[in-house]
Amino acid sequence: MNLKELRKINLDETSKKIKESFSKDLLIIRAIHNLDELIKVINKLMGSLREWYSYYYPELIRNIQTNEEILDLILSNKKRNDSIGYDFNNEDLDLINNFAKSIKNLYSIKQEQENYIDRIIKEICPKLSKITETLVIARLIEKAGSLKNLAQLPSSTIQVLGAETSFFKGLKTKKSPKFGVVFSSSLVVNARKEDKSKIARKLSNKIALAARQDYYGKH
Amino acid sequence: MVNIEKTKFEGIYFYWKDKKKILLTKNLTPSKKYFNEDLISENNIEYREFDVRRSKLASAVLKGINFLPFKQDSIVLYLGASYGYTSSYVSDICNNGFIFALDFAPRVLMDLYFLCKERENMTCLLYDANQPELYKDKIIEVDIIYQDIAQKNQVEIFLKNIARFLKKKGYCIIAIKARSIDTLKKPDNIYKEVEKELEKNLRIIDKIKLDPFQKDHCFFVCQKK
Repeated sequence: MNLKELRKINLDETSKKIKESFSKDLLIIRAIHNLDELIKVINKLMGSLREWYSYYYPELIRNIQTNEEILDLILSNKKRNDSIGYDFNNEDLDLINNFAKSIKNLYSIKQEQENYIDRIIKEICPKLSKITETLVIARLIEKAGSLKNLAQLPSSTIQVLGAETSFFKGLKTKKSPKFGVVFSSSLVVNARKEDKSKIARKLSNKIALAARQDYYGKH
Repeated sequence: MVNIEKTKFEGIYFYWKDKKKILLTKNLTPSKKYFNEDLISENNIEYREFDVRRSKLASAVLKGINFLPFKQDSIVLYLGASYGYTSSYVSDICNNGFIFALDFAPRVLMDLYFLCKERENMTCLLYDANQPELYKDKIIEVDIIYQDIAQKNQVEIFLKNIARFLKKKGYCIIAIKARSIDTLKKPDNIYKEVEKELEKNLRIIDKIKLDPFQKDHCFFVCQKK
């Protein structure tokens, strides 16, 4: 066989294989990445907005903690009476309002991504989603690379998925982490402090079982 | 106007830019670039800049390796091509030869696929280098094997592929990543172990450490007995 033919055969075969390699898992991983980025961006922008608005009306947002409340207050266009803040003209106020509107929009995009993850996870891993939150599952799939990889992992690895930094540090200091992503599961969060590691262990045990059923059960 | 000079290796050139040595290869596909590298032309010949920080081959050249086997008509098997940065330069150097670029991650193969479509002397394979028997029908006997795989059993993979695909007296190059063999052992000890392992089957022509361009990497050029 000459090289030209070989080149064509290999290119054709690779293109086919690349096409086959795409799956719903990839979309979940993308959505989780999007979500993380959105959370970061929203936090940064909100910090900026808060500082900005407090030049104008410091009394209003002084004691408010959550970002959503601040946004709602700013967007409600409260009439300002007697403030130590700087007198913004209309152009300044418009600018700040549009900025707030865009952040509000980012919140709805974030919600969209969350809903999407929720729906897809419930669809492709029905058993797993009965055990723990869909967001935790999505993060586990992201760390493992795909649902297939997750199904092939032992439960002890699942327990420390997402804690790689301290895991490799632990090889030197002989202190290994007790939990990674599973820590954000409500079962672990709500447990007493002394039970947390035990529950994380049992939980990852069950996750391993359910992941196998979800992946191999239907194939 | 820049002054482009030859290195001692076929197809690799360099010029001085702010007292820094920048490596170059002749661009096989003029006016096209793939990785945002700078293009330089002199006497109607276009060259592509070869970044040492991104390629182990380039850092080996800059660190002063004594021998590289690449010739214009070499047929090369490139294991662990990733998205094709180094392999595109190898295809520049071996412009009359052929490069089989192999990797097993679909995501990087996507970039590699488009690169291979542009370059007449390249093709890509999506296989695990651990299982050479799966792709034995897809490639032919080669003159050179180049391996850059960050796996624990990289030496084993290397020897397996050499036994199957490299012709007699052919050359083989491996970039060892000490951190993927063992994170706790000292890199120097790992290089010694690797050298012992390689010496059983091959003649080691030259080796060079790639610090500080590539941390904890060592570059071996060998010949099949």
